[in-house]
Amino acid sequence: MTRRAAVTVCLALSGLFGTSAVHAEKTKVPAPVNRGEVDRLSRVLDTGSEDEKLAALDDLGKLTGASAAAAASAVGELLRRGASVPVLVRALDVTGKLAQPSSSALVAPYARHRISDVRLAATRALSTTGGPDATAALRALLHGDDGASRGLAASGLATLKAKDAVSDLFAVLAKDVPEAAEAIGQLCAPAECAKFSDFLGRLPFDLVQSGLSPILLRPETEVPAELKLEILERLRKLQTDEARKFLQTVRASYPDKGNVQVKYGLDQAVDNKPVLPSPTAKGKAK
Amino acid sequence: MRAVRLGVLTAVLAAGCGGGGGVSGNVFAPGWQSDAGESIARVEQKLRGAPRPSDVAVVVGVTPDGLVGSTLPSGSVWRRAGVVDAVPSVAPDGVVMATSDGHAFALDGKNGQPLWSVSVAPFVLRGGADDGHYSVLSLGKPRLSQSRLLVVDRSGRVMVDMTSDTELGRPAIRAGVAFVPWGGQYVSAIDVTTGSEIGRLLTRELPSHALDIQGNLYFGQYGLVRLDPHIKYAESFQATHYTFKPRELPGNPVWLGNGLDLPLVDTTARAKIRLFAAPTSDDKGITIAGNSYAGTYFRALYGFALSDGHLLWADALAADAVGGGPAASGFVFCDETGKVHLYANDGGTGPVDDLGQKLVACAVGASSLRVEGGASRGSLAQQIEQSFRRFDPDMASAEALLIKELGKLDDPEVTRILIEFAEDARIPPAQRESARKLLAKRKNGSEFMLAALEHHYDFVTGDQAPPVGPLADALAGLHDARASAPLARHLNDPANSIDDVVRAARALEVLATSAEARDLSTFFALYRATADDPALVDAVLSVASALVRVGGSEGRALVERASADPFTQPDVGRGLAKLVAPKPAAAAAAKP
Repeated sequence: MTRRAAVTVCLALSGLFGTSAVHAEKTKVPAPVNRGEVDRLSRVLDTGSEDEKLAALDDLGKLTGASAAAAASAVGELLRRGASVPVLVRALDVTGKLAQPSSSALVAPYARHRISDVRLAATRALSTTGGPDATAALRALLHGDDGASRGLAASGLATLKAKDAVSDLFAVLAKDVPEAAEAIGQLCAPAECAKFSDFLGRLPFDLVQSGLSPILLRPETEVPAELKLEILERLRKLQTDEARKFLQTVRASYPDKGNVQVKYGLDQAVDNKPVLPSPTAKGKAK
Repeated sequence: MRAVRLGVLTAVLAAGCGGGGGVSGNVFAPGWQSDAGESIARVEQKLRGAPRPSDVAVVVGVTPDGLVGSTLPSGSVWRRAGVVDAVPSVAPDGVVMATSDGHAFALDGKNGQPLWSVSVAPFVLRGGADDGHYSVLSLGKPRLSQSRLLVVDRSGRVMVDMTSDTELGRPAIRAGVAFVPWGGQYVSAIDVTTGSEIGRLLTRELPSHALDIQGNLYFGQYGLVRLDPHIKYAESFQATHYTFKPRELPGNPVWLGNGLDLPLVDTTARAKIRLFAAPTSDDKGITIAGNSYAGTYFRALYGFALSDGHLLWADALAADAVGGGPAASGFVFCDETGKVHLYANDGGTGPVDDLGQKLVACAVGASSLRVEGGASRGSLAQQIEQSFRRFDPDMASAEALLIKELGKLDDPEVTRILIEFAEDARIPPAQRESARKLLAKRKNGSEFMLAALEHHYDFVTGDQAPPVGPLADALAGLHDARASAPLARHLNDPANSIDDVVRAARALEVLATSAEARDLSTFFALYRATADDPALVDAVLSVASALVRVGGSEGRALVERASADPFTQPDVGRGLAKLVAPKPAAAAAAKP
């Protein structure tokens, strides 16, 4: 359980404080578009053998900066025409790497392909291409009949910081889409976070803790310290081993330069001491 | 009056001691020489215009520990303690006869007052009748052919007591003459005051029942002959005759059943699968009252037209039906909770009586009751829809019948109901498939079809995918172009079955407009190289055909390019080649 809690927290931290490769690349100085190379690879995508097409897709996937947009456009043409399953899966993977929002509209239909490999590749790609088309497609996938796609879509919405999708995520939370919990934890507004914490004791602890980790570790500008303290107190009051271990893991992961009240609350909770002063004590302090 | 105690083989009855001349010294003796209908004709003549007590409609429920009864359509409920060993008989005058704990007894069905009781052990009741003065009972032994005939007067005196190694059927009685079917071809008319056989009917109608309904006496089982001046000619098939041929029903219930069987209280499913119809007579002969008959199948009830067996009405009770009977007009059913339900011939419901106890069986004598002008329960389509809401999953046979009947109705509401049935996961798969098949053939209700197509599978709300394929077939048959947009959207919804997608694609071949070109192109791109199923290949080719028709130059180019692409799925490629090949006439015209 400790290991699972630690993994959950680490994943939450990577999402909150880490910087994705895609975003890092976007901050680089854009390289000029290598139009000739893109055109050559486009022709291969049109007329090459399957192996040649796969190789061309790999090459297109390596392009960055302004060339990435052109590469995405070339791959998009292939998607528009259709291709064999191996080529489609590779094309969707490459589209995800290229992370161009303009690709999302072409990728979205493939997320509803009848062949699972194609469908999941497209859903993963949408998580990085982003934009309104991607968000809409991922939200729609939460309503679809494929469990794997629903899980990927929930995670994808978190990756895309699609805060508007929190209501959809709540709708699938109790319907065997565990990824929705973590996504809610990453995206929720304070009221939504409070609503999520109400699931403590109503849904399996494993599921709820995967959403509480990001909530407790997000900056206090997004999730107020008061709300975190309330959640910590509720966790403490559970008086279960799994809650205790979870609190210890969160305490170990909480940034040293984090909010003093929250740090104090974590210490209190880990020591099984009241996190919130009782109303009487509060009155006396005044 | 002298009590007559006879054994078949030893009885000595003086011929001619009854009215009009006797038949045989040995009642139920098989070695009888036909009298060409003379004796039964004399009996008929004697009884013509004979007095008959007023009819009283009575229901008697069998409970685990006794009887409970009431007059119909409503009356005070009476009870009698003591486990009965067979379903009671209810005579037209409301007298109830039963056996319990080694005794046969009769009650006044109006109030449950005992009329008489006699020891009959180890015999149990097969059937009984009453003419206001005498009760006649046919008794038998379980699993043995031995029978006993008993006639008892109101004081409890046994007037006739005969045993027979031949099984006797269910008797009737009129003005002191008992009619006892036996031997698969005879009905003996016995003067109950003397025990002598004063007439014998020979009929090939396999008589095991003698029925007294609204003043007429009928004999038979599958077919009936009537006691009237033509009875003399029964041997030569010239009696007034009727054969009831109901349609086949779930569970194969039979009408009267074998009257030689003992009606032991049956708690198996068979007791809940019944068929009810009352013979009635008019100037033309015999027919079925109300020109309709009814059946039960557990909690399902239904009524059918005599003419062609089509469904007239349907309903479902809250609990299983455990018995019932036909009325002079309408039907009576008892359910296992003790409720007694009255239905008119058109399915309108009359008052519901409550016997106040759980029942294991019930008997109804309602040949004088007319249930008419009951509360309407909506159209037949609505009745079927409402019935389905009360059905259990194990009632698939009744559901199958009702769905089939539903498909015969022209009411546009039927389309809506079939859509609901096709989507309802509580309905067994075979019945859902039946609903889909019927839906595909609908010629009206297109508004319901279009509304259904607007829905898609939704994991969150729990909505199931609509029956896209059947809707596509029906709307294509109706040439309803409004279906093109929703059908095109369904093409790209993987929650729809392949079969549904294929049929949607086929419909779009004729219905699609240029507005659907984008959805068509998407589907074509997704599957022209990945179709891994022959059905999907068919769908791609249908979509390609639609694209060529409505997609303009762009659509045609997409198809032509795919046709030339070696990575297009081979079967798709061959189909596309045919599709884009120049037509012979066009090719000839193009030649210089």
